[in-house]
Amino acid sequence: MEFALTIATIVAIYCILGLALNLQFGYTNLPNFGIAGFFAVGAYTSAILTVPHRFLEMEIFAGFPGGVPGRIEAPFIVGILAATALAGFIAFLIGVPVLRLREDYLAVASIGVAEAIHYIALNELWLTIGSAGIRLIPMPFANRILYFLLVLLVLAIVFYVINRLVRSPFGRIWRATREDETVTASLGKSVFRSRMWAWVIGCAFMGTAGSLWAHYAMAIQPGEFVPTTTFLVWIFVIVGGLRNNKGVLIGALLIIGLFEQGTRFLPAFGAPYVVPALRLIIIGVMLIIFIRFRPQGVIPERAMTIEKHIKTI
Amino acid sequence: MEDLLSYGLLTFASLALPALGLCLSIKVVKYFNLAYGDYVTMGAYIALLFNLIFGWNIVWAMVATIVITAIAGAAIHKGIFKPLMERKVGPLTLLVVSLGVGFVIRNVILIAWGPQPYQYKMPMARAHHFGPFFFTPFQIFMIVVCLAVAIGIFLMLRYTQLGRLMRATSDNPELSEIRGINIEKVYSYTWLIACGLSALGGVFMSILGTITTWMGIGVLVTIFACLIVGGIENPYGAVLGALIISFAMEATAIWISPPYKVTIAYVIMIVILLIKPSGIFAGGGFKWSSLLRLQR
Repeated sequence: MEFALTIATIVAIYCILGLALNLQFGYTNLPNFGIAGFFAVGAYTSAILTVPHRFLEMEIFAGFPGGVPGRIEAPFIVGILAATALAGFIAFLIGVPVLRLREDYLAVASIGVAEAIHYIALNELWLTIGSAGIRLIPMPFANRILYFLLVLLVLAIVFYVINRLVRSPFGRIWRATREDETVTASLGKSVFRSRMWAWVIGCAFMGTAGSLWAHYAMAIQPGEFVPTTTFLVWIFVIVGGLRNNKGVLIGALLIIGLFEQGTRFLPAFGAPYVVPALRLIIIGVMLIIFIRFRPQGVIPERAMTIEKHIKTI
Repeated sequence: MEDLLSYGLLTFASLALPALGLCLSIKVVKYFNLAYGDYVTMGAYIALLFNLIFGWNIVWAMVATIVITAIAGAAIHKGIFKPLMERKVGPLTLLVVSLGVGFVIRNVILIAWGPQPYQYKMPMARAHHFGPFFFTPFQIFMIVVCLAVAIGIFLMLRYTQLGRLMRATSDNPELSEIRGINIEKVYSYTWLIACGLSALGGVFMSILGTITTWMGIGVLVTIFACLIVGGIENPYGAVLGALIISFAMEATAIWISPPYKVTIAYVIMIVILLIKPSGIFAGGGFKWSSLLRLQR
């Protein structure tokens, strides 16, 4: 039961990441390979703001000069809102130069964002305590079941917001931009501005997910926010069905729930790194095979047909 | 200052060739391979196999590595990317596939070698002063090889038949195909060259530092910054960009903090994108208005 609850919470948090990526890549064609970076921004913001002063008195920090963490002790709600806002703001700052790039170059630039954030988390001891990480992050309600319900609530809100956005006139500009930039621009829509909104909203939701993760795991360290996280999100979004939010949820359940977490208690062999590496190899091969033979994913995008459109009118 | 000159040149020797290789692959084959950083790692580990397990001299290990990595890279193109390109999928799909390829390579290496860092077995050598520089003989060899290979590639692009075919394919693949160029062959040769260069760079980097399974991602970001600085599809720009980035990185290591080397490369990239997105060696002057422009 405890095990199922753990998996369910992790899957729900990953679902938020997947929905955000689907908004960016599926609907707007912005390949974000820096998911781990924005996830880290959210996790660290929330952790630094909410960690209690007690944390600084832990043994391993004896003689640590001390910095920001442990001095603010804000409530959870402040942490999660600040995490969302800061991730969005950083996305905006980075977006100004980077969103001018062609899509495939944008991908590499976003990997760089994640790397830079990783190095900052590792080296700015006054802010993040470095590689030891932050511990004793409070979990709201101090109850796993209630916390899981809270994560589900946030997931539902994100799902609703993204679905509404994509169906709004604003979301139609996103999809039009995805299909043909020139046509959209010639209709007087600002391609850059619409992309910027998708970029900022998506990254802000990744920050929200990071905050939820920090309060769930109760301890974070820079080593968690590596490209592997990004890769897992990409694979389940593509397997589940790019451009279809329900497909993303199913993909997360399949890849993260069944494969990544569900195989955790199978008998391990070899050195401790062998099984996780094998798992990633299998996922990587699966990604290649999926793109080769079923690029639309398990559940493809529901295209708007003329009949449907007439019906809605 | 002496340190900066010496280390800067050495870092340049290890960055210039992978940057040139990535540039050629983007220019000719027209898709971005995120696994390129992992090709560099692959080169480093293959040389480690020859050097540490078989006990070869590092130079011979390097030669063998170049051949094997080049063939492996071309085979990955033929086996995975070519079938997708024939189906006319977009560059973004190829990009996502290359992400998967990179993860497979990285984790295969991880299983084979484990997470601990390695170093090559090399005889200790004394460093000597050469004017303002301070090098061991092998480091001189590295710099000479790097410059010779880079110049060789430039001459090849300019004067040989293969270079002409590559430039023609780069300019217009359809037209080249109509004129009877076997562009698949050109692509294969380009990947052979690009992966050979990545292997050479990987060995040089590992001689200067240590070999780890996750070095590829930092390398990818760094050489991408070199390309942006020099203008993405410009081979000369790639090498000059590598020169600028490597000196900036070493200056950071000396005066600010060594862990921020990759970050500074990234910051330079962002600045270049803000002031001159086409690279500092492209035509046309810098315009202050481009700082404020928010339209693409």
